[in-house]
Amino acid sequence: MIAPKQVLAIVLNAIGIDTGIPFEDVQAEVLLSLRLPRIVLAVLVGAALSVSGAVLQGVFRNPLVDSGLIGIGSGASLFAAMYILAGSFVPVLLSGNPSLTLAFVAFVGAGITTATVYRISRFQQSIHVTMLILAGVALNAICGALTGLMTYLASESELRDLTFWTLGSLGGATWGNNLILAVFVVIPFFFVVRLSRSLDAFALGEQSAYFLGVDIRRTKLIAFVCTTAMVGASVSFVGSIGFIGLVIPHILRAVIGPGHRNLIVLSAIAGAILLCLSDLISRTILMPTEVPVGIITALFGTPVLLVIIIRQKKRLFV
Amino acid sequence: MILAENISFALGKSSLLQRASFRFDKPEFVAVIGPNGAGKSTLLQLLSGFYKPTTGSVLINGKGTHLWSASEFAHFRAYLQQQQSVFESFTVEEVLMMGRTIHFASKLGLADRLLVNQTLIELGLVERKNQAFNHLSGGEQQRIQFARTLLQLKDPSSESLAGKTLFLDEPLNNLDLYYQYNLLQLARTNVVEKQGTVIAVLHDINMAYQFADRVIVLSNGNTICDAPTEEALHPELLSRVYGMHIQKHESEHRTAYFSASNALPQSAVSNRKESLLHY
Repeated sequence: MIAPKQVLAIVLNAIGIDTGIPFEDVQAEVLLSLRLPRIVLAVLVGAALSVSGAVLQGVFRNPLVDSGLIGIGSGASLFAAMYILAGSFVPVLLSGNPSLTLAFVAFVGAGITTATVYRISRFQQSIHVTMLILAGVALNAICGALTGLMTYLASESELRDLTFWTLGSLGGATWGNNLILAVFVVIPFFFVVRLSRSLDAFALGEQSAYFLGVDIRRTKLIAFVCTTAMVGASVSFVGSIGFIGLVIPHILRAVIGPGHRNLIVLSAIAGAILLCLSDLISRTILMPTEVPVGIITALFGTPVLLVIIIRQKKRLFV
Repeated sequence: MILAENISFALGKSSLLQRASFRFDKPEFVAVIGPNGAGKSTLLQLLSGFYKPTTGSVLINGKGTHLWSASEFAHFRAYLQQQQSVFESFTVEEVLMMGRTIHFASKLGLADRLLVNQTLIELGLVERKNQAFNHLSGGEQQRIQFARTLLQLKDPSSESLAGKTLFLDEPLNNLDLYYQYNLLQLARTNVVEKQGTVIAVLHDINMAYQFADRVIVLSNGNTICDAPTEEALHPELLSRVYGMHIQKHESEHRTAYFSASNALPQSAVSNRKESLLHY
C-alpha cells in the first residue's frame, strides 16, 4: 500500500524535492516503474483512441465509425504480429530501437487497412456507408484470420506476445515505450485539433466542404495519417482496446454539441480518464488476477452505446 | 468572370457534357434548364471547379479552376447543392457560420457574427437560431443552406459582389410557392444587384422566365441554346427539348406563363436529339 501523501512525496522526491514524509524504497520502485508509467500509458492510449474516433466520425460523417470498425486496429495487430515473427530476419529499422520499429510497422499496417477501406467505400465523390461497414468487416476478418494463423507459427515466447494483442493489456508499460508513444500521439493530436474547422465543414458533406473553401484532400490525408499513427502506435504497445473511440465522442456530442474543436480536446481528456479507470478496475476487480482491460471497456462501453442508440431512435421516431 | 472553352466531361464511358462554351462576365441571372439527365448539375460542377473538364478549360478571373487553392477560390464562388444532410446536431447558427469558413481562423470575428445575425433576421429565423438544423422542416433547411451560400460571398467591408458567382443547383426544392419566389428574389437583390452573377439550375420554366436574364438550355449533354430569356424560352424549342406540347400564354408584365400538355407523339420524341441539333 502506498498512501496518497506518500505518492506525492515519492514523485516530488524523484524530481529532487524532499518533503520529509517517510516512504520505503520498494514503494518508490513500485510507483515509479510500475504504477506511474502504466497510468501515463493509459492516458496516452485512451486519448489516442477517443480522439481518432472523433476525427474519423467527422471525416466519414458517420457516428458508427471508429478505428476498430475501419480496420486500423486489426491492420496494426497483423503487422505487429508479422514483425514479431519475422522480426529476427528483418534488420531493426529505426535507430536500433525495437519498440520504435514495432510502433512504426504497426502504423504502416494500420495505414494500409484504412486506405483500403476508404478506397472501397468511396463511390462518386462520396463515402458509401454500407460499403464502408462491409469493407471494414471484411478487412477485420482477413487480418484477424492471418493474425490467428500466425499463432501456429509462433514459438512459446512469441505466442505470449501475440496473445497479448488480441486481449489488450496495459501491463507492459515502461518509460521508454511511453516516450515513443507520446511522440506518436501528441504530435498528431495538434495536427487534428487544427483540422477542427475543416471537419465542421465536412458535416455538410465533402463536396460542400470543398465549396466552402476546405482543401478536402489535405484534410482527409492529415486525418488518416494522424489517426493511423495514434492508433497504430497504441495498438503496438497495448493491443486492441475497443469501444473507447466509439463511446466517448458519442457522449460528448450529446453533452457539448458537435463542434470539433471542443469535441477533439475533450475527447482526449475523457478518453484518458476512462481508460485509467478501466485499467484500475481491470487490476482490482479479480485480485490478484488481472482482467484484460479490453473486456472492461467493452463491458461498460456497450450498455452506454445501447442507451445512446435507443435515445436516438426516440428522437427520430417520436 | 467565368470563361468556359469547349469543355466536355465524361465519367467512365458515359459522356455527360459535350463541347460547351460559355462566357459569364457581367452581373446577370442565368437559368440552366433542360430535361433530367441533360447535364445541368454537371455543368455547374465544372464551372465551379469541383470537376475538372475531360477536355477544354474553365477559367475563373483568368485562372484555370484547378489552379486555384480551395480557400482562395471560395472567396469568388459559392454553391448550393441539391439535397444536403448535415452530420450530427449542428445548430442553425453553426451551419450559417460554416458559410464563413474561409473568413476566420479559429473563432468567428465580430463582423462575421453580425453578418450571421443579420442573415437570421432577414430570413425571419432568429428564433430558430439555437435549434438543431436536422430538426427543421425541409423548406427551412433549404432556406438556411441558401443563406449560408450568400454569407460565404459577403464581404463586411464592401457591398459589391463584382466578379463573384453564386451557383444554385435546384434551389427551389422543398420550398412552398411563397419561398420559391422569395429565394430567387433574394438571389437577385443580394447578388445580381450587387454586381455578382447567379447561375441556377431550375426546373420551373415559369420561374426561369420571371427571374432569369439569360437561359441556357441543355439536352443530352448538348447546349441547345444560350440566349436572352425571351429568345431561349421559345415554346417551339421547349416542346422539342421536353418532348411535350408546350404553349406560352402572354399576359401583362413578365407574368406570361407556360403550360405543358400531352406528350408529343413517339416519333417526335425518339429522334429528338437529332432534330434538336439542327434546330
